[in-house]
Amino acid sequence: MKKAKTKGPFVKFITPYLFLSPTVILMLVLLVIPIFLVIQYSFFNNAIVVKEPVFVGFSNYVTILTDSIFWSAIKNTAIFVIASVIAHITIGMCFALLLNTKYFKTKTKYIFRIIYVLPWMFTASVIAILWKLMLQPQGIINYLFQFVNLATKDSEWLSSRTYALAAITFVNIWSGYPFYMISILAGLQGVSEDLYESSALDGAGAWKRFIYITIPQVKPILISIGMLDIVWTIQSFAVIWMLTGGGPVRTTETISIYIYKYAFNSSQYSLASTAAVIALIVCIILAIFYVKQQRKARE
Amino acid sequence: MKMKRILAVLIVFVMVFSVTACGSSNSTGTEDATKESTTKESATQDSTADTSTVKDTGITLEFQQWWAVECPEGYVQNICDNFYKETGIKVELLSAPFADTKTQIVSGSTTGTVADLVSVDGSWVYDFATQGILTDMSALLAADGYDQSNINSQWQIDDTTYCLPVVNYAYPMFANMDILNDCGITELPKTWSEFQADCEIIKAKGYYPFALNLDTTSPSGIQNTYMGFAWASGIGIKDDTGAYKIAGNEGLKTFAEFMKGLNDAGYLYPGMSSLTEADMTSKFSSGELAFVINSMATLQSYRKDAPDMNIAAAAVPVKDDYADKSGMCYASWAVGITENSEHKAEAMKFLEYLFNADVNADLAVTQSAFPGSASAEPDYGDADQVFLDVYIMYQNGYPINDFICMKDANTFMTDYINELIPYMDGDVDVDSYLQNVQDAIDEIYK
Repeated sequence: MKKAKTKGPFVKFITPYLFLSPTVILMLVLLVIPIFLVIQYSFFNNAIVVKEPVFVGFSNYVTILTDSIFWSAIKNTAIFVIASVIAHITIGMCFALLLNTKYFKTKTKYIFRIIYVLPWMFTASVIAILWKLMLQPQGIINYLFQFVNLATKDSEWLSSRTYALAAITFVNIWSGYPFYMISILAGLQGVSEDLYESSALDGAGAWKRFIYITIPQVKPILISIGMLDIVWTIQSFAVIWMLTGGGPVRTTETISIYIYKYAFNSSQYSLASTAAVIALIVCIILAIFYVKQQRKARE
Repeated sequence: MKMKRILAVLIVFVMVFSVTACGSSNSTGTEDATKESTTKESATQDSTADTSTVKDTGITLEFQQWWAVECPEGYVQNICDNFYKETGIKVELLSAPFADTKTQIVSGSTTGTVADLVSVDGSWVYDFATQGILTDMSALLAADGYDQSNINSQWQIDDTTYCLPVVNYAYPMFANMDILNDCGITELPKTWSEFQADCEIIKAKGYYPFALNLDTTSPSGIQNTYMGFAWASGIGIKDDTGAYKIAGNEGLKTFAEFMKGLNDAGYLYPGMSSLTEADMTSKFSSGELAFVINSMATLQSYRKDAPDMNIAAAAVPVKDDYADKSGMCYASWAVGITENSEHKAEAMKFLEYLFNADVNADLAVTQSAFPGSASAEPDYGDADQVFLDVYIMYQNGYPINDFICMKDANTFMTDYINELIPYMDGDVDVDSYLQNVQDAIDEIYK
């Protein structure tokens, strides 16, 4: 019988690193290097388009943080994100409760599950084209609103400085709620029926059961998807760009549109990188909260 | 056992057959995809080109452009093949839609992979020249001893040529004669007053008279439609010395008030601040709009989408007391040579080939455009009557576009739109609006 060869200390040492190396290399190339480059660009006068960019310290940060358009973009982003996340949670919860109810037959629930999840199936370009057609002055929204005297055939939504931000927020809510619905539904299906039965015996009504049983049971899911949604909504770009391009007169210019315009309209890559780094810091803070919450939930 | 063997042979046969079928269907699919997207075409693929007698120089030039996407399939490749037959220099086409070309050139220049020749829009020239992407073409032209009188115009920054417009597109006013006939309008409006009077009739009849596309995703509406209207009356954003004169510019002030008047009266298509050029084209094709200022190239779209529509080319109406020549907005397919190119002289040869009388004339005819070469004599015999009418207007007037070679042109066009909308909505007065636009251009050139 052959004796198994014992590995040398170097092989033993290197083996776990070799197993890790494909992932580490991928993360380096796709994550660490691009982030490092963007941070580096933010400290130069104008990276990429200038052959020998000059180090300017925090000058770009001062420029961005004293730019009124940046703060207007932050304000628009905040409104867009807060309204979207609250509406996503509310609509997602309502539809999830509807789909989890015992009053409908399983077949009915399946049909409605498919219908409710449809907006999530569309790509950003389809969503933008669809809503642009519906929200244009000659679109179906104005046609329907005319019946209840809420609009005329010339009413503007995407091109109105008053309503444009609300319009793109609505489109974002419409396209994003199914993710909440599916996640909350999965959480609701995991809530023990015993809890509801014992609370019913104690005389708790539907509202109290919802507040004291349903919400606490799905709270970890709500916090997790809420955190993720904040980060995703901050980064929203495609739908806003295709619907309004940040207009009219910057009323729908969110931080992602602001960064894009600096980079690709004005070729100011360093300033774009600086704004991107600021957005990255906000997202990292949220990510830390998310990880902490996940750890707490596991414990 | 025998049954098992037969089954095994059958399975092997089916597998081999399906692999072969998949393989062939795959390759067909790839070929089709390549044909459709025309992202990268080899210079020697065209079977029509007889390359047997060509002495290959071993040099291959790359040409980044959007032309192959917009021209009939294989047309631009054919030009390259014919050039190869004459010179032995291969030209490889790198094609992308117009909207992606600028990004590809910038990203290519940062990684050192930018093509030798790049097609450039007028609003990119300044940025590309100052960023060192484009090379000094004046020196190349001089070194080559090329007869520069054959080039109708050269795009220059500080007296240095960076791009040569190969063909030009005019931006005339198109009129839907079906709407005008329905409204009892028999003559096309020549002045602002006549235009306003016609708009009133058209509006009363339930149509939209005119559209102003002020979407900022691609802010060219301020250039092509808004200023295109102003240039017809000799109103521009520059003074006689070439300096930007917007605040206190009486012509611009009168024109702004005229446009606001149209908007206040409801003559402009609603939703102008999110209206794109494509939207405007489709509204005209669908018969909702009576007048539109758009590229000559869109005539093909109108003919395709609304073959029965009675379209006429109209001269852009001028200010009532204006009697001089009318300026007509134009855009170009221009080409520059990149600083990064290792074959600048050969690239220049290809560019000169594009200015060859026959090549240039044929390209102009194919694309319903006007030649950039002085020696080109395009035969528009089979051309659309609307195009011929525009050609006469183009010859009677003069081409103008103040945004070509402008520094940070895209940013300025966006700023201009962002100042125009509050004025049109009545939130600021005309002087403040013009002052704000002046501040925007001053900020760019400070």
